[in-house]
Amino acid sequence: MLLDTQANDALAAVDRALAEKPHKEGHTFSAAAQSLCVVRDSLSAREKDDPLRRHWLGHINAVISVILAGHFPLGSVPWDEIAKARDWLADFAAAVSATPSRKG
Amino acid sequence: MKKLRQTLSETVSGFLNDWSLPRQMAGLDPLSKAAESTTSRTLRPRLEQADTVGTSICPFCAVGCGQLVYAKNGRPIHIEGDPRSPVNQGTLCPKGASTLGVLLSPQRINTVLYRALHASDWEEKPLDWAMERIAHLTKQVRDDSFVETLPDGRVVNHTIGIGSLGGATLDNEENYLIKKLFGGGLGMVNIENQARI
Amino acid sequence: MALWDLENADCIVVMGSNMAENHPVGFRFVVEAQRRGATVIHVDPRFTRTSALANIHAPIRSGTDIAFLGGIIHHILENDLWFRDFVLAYTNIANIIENGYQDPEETGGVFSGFNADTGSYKQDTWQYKGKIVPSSISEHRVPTRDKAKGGDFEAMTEGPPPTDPTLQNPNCVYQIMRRHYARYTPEMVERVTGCSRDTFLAVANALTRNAGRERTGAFCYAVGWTHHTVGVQIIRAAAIIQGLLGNIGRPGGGILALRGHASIQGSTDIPTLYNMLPTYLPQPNVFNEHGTLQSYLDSETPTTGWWANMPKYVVSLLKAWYGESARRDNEWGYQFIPKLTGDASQLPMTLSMLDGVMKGQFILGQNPVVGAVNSDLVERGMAKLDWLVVRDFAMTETANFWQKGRLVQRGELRPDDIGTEVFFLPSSLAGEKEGTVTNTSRLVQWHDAVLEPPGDSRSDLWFIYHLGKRLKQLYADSSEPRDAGIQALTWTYPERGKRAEPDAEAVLREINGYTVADRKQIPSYLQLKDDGSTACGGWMYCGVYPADGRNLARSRIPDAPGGPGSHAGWAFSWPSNRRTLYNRASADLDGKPWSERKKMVWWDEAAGSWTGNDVPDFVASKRPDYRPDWPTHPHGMDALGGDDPFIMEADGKCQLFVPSGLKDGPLPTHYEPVESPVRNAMYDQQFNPAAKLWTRPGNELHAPEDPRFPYVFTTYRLTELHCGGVISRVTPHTAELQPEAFVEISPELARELGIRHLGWTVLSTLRGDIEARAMVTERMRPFRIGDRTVHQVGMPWVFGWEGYTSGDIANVLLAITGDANTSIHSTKAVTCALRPGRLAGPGGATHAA
Repeated sequence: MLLDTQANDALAAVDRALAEKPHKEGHTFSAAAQSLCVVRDSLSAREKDDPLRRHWLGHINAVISVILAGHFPLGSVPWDEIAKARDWLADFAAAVSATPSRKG
Repeated sequence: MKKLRQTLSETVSGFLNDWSLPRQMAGLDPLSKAAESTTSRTLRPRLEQADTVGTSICPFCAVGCGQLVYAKNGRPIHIEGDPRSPVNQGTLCPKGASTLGVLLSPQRINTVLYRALHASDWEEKPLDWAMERIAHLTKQVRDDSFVETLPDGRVVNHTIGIGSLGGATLDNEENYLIKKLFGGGLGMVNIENQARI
Repeated sequence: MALWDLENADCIVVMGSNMAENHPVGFRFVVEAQRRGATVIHVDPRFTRTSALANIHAPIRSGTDIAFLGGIIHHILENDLWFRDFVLAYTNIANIIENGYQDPEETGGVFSGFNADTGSYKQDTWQYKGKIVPSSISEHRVPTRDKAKGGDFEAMTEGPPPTDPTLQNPNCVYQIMRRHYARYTPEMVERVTGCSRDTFLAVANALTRNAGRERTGAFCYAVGWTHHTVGVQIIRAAAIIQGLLGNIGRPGGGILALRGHASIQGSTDIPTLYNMLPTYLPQPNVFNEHGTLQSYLDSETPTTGWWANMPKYVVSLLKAWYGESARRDNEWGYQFIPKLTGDASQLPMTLSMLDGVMKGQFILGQNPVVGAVNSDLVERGMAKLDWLVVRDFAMTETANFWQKGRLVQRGELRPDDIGTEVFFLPSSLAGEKEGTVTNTSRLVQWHDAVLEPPGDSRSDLWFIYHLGKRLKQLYADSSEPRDAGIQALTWTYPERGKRAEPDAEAVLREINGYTVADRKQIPSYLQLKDDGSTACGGWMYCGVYPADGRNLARSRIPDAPGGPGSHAGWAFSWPSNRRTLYNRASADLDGKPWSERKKMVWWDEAAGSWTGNDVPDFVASKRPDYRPDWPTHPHGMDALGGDDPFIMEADGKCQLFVPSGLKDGPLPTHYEPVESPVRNAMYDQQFNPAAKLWTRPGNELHAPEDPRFPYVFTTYRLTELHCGGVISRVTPHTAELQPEAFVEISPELARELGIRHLGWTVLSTLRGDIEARAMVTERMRPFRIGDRTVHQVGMPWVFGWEGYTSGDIANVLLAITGDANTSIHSTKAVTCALRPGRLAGPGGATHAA
């Protein structure tokens, strides 16, 4: 699958979480985490000096870490942080679409 | 046949002569002298063979019973409750009393076992090889899953790609180094043990 | 409290524990107390050996502990049976709470501050009027609505929290508690718990009769209390009772947690836990004000009470971990410490494996396939890992899930499908390695290496030390900032013998702490500094190795008969070799023992210091009549009076009502377990609204009163088989004594379902199905709840497919849910289905066992 498709799938999953704002339910955030891990695994499978990997792997990992705060919140879900993570993911999706070597 | 019968009769009478119960029933001192037999006269305490004894703490629950571990040539020969301990005063429960059996369990495994990707069986491997491979795998996952900062600059310095489970059966020093290396060194946050559950 | 101090109790309640069977040697102190005249009570759904030896057995339906304990609180308050002098002086009973506080009695089952959209609480209406009270537990900051930046603790230095010593103010703790527990009458206790009114009153009377100046009582609990979504609140309910009866900090008084592993206390103190740094310092969090060391300390350090010393402990820890690389100009290496974004505890970890977030896993002497809830989900998670390292001394179900696991047995997965690289590394056992373990009474005891570990068996100290050496080597040449922490980590320990075993004493010396300049051992945490001149790996353990050659964990001098009975010469108990925490409360306001019979520490006017049979848990020279000089805005211990014994609390008082620190309410409230066959008789709110739930495929929950799952299911251990079970299942002696798994069923239920004693049964939940032979026994009794009969079945969870004794894994049946405060799973009260017969499958069974 193309990396940009994977990124957009992940974005859709995070958007779903933001729209539905689930709590005490594991499925929505689980789906988001799973789709983000697909992106992460695609990136980390690339060569070490691949520019996409170099620039974005840590970025995607950061998004995953924030999504985990929604899945496993300490107290209430930090929706404002999830929204930021969504935008960071969108930055990545846009960058991937603009990159010629986007095939996964 | 006669010889056999004679041997048998000697054995029986020897046994009867040596059997302590008739003497005890006859009212002789029921505990010591009368209870003695040829076999018991030659018995020696197992602990006499020990070349080392040390104190240990029972490995099961958290009551913390003191144990004395007796060893010969580095092998355990006896474990009993430490009579000095104010916790257990020499007593042990059925699990604690089985500690020697744990150490000597026939099902104990003393070699490194390795299961390759998709393999259907274990294979033995050298310890050094396993340690090197584990170190490389740890580094690889850490490097691929590390978060230095959030994109807005907040420092995170963690990985959620590796987890560690266990510690309640280990020593304090072991737990300390696990938290220090995995947490303080590698940035792992998923460090947990039985205390959680 | 110390185990042996149970002998001094006049009444002992064992609840949430089968102490006689699971902590048999500890139970001898209960038997001794009984011999001396104490009343022993066992409150438990089952009749066990503990019940058999108790004076009173009070059976309750699993999961109704708070209704029972709340009933006792009601009984104490309404009959004025509380220890007035103790309670008025030492607890917050007279404190006035914010006006906005609303009780579940007013709202239909939740406290004020609840947000239904997030299922969580804000704590601002639970505060003392005009104050924000820092929590005494490891996370001190208080999430409040108005002060999102972690609260403002300075108000605590401006004067004492407002009180009404006449207890008439409707918003004082006394009045709030009376209203909160008004409906916890003996009749309600009977209706909710199934325990008869008379039996309940016998328990309440025994406890209250044995309280006051001359008498004390103790509670003993185990995971029968913690393994619920309200686990912390059950313990809190007992703490309220003990506070009201004056049973804290006194001989024979207290709440004794009976913990299950040799160093489970040690691994909590020096935590292999995600949310704490050694000895109860909070792990920093990205989303809190923890961006810099200064902001972390500002938001987490209480202004008043002992915890005001926190910066000294944090900086000393950073010096121990990062040595010369911990400098003032790099925040003492604070940024090397990883920050949390969410709950990274065991249950989320399992789900993270399933989602593919987690790639590698170390399992060090634990067996989650047997010991963790929802065992099939654990297997599925591990099957997604890239690699798994298991260290144990015999094969475990966790290490060979890919070969013999339930999923493979059922044909859902083939080993070919499982791309997990698995390492099994043999471990040394106690006797083959040296070090310390900490028992359930905080007693840190050294054990010797007497034996040679066989073959490639190594201590976990060896493993982690040599893994660390290799990793430091691999990262030695990196110039990446992210690798600076591992490069800076101090990792020099003497190696001994042909195996290059690291020196455990050297590690213990680091935990104890030393001066940086001349590397001298530090005798007491009173000497720790926040200026980088001291290093200490765990401040509460400071004193265990106070000087070169003095390893107090090795000390083996028990008291002689007739001695003080604190056995101060036997090993070391943290902190400062104190055996009883908060023991200042054993003396009255003036510093005199409440009675000769119950004396422990007292004020010695001539010497100008506290003294007694235990190390006083107080500032040694602080006079009983000391009062804070409020106009000067006193901080730390200066803000606590000479009659404020609870020094870890910001106001020095025993917290009957908890303003901060609890995620699910300031007072314990009865909620039904998440899965229950009945409706909550107390409130509309069925279960703890702040419970952690993660419903998803494979982890579905049963709705309340689901007719498909009508029975209460509970799990427990056996005397002969230990926890995850491998250690005792591979040991012939213990395995022979418990040869096969079984499920305990009452004769009534067996008749109803046509189940024969020793016949096969199938137990089912939405998480899975297992089979076990029936043990039909009157140890299990049906409960009358309202107008219906509720049956309960129970099963030991210690079986698996490895070892000489085997049986199905009970935890297959359980769901992943978490206590609101601790994320601890629920194993004691779920619902299930039960039928006679066997599971369908080849040979009648779906598995090799």
